[in-house]
Amino acid sequence: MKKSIVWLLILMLVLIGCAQWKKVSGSYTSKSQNYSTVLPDGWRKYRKVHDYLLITRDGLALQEIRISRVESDKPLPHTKKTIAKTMLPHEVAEVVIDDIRSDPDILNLSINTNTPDRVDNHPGFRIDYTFQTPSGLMKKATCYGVLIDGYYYDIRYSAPARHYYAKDILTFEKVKEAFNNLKEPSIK
Amino acid sequence: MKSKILIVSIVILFCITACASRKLKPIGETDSFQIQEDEKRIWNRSQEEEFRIDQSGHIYDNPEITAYVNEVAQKLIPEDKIDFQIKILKNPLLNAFAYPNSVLYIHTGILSKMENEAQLAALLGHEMTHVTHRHATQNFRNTKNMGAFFATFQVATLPFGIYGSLANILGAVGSTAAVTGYSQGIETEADKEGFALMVNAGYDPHEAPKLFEHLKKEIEEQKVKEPFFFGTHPRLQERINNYNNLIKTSYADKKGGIGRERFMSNILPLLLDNAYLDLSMGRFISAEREINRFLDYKPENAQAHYYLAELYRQRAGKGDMGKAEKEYLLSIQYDPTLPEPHKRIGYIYYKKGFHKEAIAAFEEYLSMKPNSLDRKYIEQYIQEMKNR
Repeated sequence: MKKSIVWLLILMLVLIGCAQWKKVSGSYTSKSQNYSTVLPDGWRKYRKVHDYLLITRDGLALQEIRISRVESDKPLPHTKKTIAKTMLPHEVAEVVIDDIRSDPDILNLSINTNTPDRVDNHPGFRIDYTFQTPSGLMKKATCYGVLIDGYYYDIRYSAPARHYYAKDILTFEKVKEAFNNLKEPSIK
Repeated sequence: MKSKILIVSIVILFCITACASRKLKPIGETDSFQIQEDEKRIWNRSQEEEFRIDQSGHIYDNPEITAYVNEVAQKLIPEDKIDFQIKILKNPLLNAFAYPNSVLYIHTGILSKMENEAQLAALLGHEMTHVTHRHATQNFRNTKNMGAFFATFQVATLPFGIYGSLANILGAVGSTAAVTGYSQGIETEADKEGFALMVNAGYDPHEAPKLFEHLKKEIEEQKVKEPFFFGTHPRLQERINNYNNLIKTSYADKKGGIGRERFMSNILPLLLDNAYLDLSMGRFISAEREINRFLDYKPENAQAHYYLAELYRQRAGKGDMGKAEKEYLLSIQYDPTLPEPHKRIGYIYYKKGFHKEAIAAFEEYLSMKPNSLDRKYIEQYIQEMKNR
């Protein structure tokens, strides 16, 4: 009897753990955030967050792709500065860099590139940076950003700098190329 | 009756002995300082924490200003008595803390709020007393759960980003000193003895409460609860009350030096550096105050005018864009070799549709900074304007 209770508890824990993740692949649409993209096969979506999309294949410590959206003039996660509707791409990039710099989990930040780019054929930017996590792991990240109809979209990939970043950067680029803003009226 | 008196006497003697053994003799009070076993453990932990801080990238690298602050400390307690080491951290939050092995850290944030050397001496005196009176060890001995004492704990620092995250590097010894502070009794002793150090060194005691009044005003203006000890309202009020009381009871007629000019001439670069940190945090009131104090001494400093322009641009209040434009142009006037103001004035002209002026400003910037990270943006804007 005791053994079966223990096995039942173990099974419950495993099920709870698995329930946090959902396998994804192919076409993905977020109606709440007004975009669609194509997600890679064999990746999993973290179900416990609803404000943004978070996917990984081998676990968040080894790679993650995140797509999020912030309304203009609303705060970003870490910086006091906001993104105004009328900002040019380089100005939006500056605010995003400030937000990255203000993240307490980002140590020894180095911005490697900050260049104009296009996302869904809108003028945006690409930022490449490296940083150290509080536990001492060196990570590399690529962030594409674009302001569309009063919303800032952030498409970001990060992974340990050694070996893992290079492994899935092309996969990430495909997700970014497939990103498409579903038309919506501008914010008044 | 006699036996009752004897018992009471023994009990009283026991209590006195017990209390005496809890109270440590200040360092310097006797010729031979004997470090106790538990104190060794705390000193070892302190060294580990100091190493982490020193490696964290938070140290403010200005040997002249660091030497000056150490010089002031030596006026309070000469180095042949106790060799204090004062280090400065580049952090705009209000903080200063001491490790028991006589290493002190002071933030640029708190230094930039001071007006004179007497106020610096007041703060140093307080912190140095924590060392001389072995408050860390006393605190350790008073802690009920010894095991938990060395457990690291998380401080709610999220709103302060990387500057608040310093608290999570500190460790148990530093966190007590920098964040929670010691008991009211210990802090009051630090006020009293530190105050005596300051006055005996010839400084005007009336400056001590003034420092904490400034800090209190600062946190009230920012309307934000800072995470560190010297940024919390009740602790600042305690200091103000203690110093005012000490002046009233012991130092009413005492006068002394203030050292305003010596302080300002030594600290000036730090004002501007900290203003930049305040600006990066969006603390516009503090940043503007610091830049203007700097400009009072160096009105033609191009970097200061550039920071002021950046403040107006980022604050983006009514009339700020016009003020920003004016300050960028002043910065260029005082030092045309500074690249950033050219870029920024280029963006202003670009947005206004003054394409010829924008192209000229952008090209000037790119000629000075050919490897700038934002080169591609600017080349894109130049091409776009040329194509029109």
